[in-house]
Amino acid sequence: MTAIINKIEPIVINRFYEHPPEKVFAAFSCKKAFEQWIAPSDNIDTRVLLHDFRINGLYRIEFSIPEIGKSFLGGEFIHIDCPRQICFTWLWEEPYIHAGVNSLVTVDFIELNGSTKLSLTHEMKACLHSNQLNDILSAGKVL
Amino acid sequence: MTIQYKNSLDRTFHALGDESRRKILAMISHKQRCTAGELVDIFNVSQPTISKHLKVLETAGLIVRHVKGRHHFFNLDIKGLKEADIWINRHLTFWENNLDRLGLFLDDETKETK
Repeated sequence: MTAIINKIEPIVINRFYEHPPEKVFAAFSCKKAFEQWIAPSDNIDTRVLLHDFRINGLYRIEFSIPEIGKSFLGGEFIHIDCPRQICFTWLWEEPYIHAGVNSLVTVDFIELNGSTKLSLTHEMKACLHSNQLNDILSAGKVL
Repeated sequence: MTIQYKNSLDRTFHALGDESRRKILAMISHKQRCTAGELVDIFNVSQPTISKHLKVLETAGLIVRHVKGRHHFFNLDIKGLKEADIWINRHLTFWENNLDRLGLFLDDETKETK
């Protein structure tokens, strides 16, 4: 159980792609391209229902999972710095098991000799609240 | 100021987002049962500080309190941790698969444009 406690940190995944950051970034910013790969497997039919790629723009995705049904996921693009960083909120809809859990995805695109190092961080928004709480506590303010 | 969470998992991650609370949980897990006084001695912090952390952990459903006379004992509640573990594993698998697919998509797109 201690192992679980210790791994409660944001999910961080790094990948290297032999393509320039502009191209990797476009796979997120272009609705048609995004729909091509944002599915966990080939047998999950995926439709990007909404993809308003601008700050405060919304997105919504439908996943059709065989023998289970449809799941919907959505969020808001809260930071866009082409072709360096995208940050968006992540919220599953009912009746999915994790519906209502607020989380945040940050994707960094780092140029390395014409290729791209992609670094994806997925964290619970509550973790951010926790840091803010610590700041307040350390400043000696009363909650 | 009180933070309101709509989902129990939000509360769980808020509680676990603090390193001190993770250490307290790990200690309770290791000892199986602890009093607040024992945790004060182990971590060398004040009673109010430990009480505040224990309250957050208890509200998040990560520990359970048992009162015996004047003593309050705390045990780990595995259910809350398992829920967090499921969230992490599902999203880790989701992104690993998707980012593999992103690589294939980028390679295919390059081949098509050549």
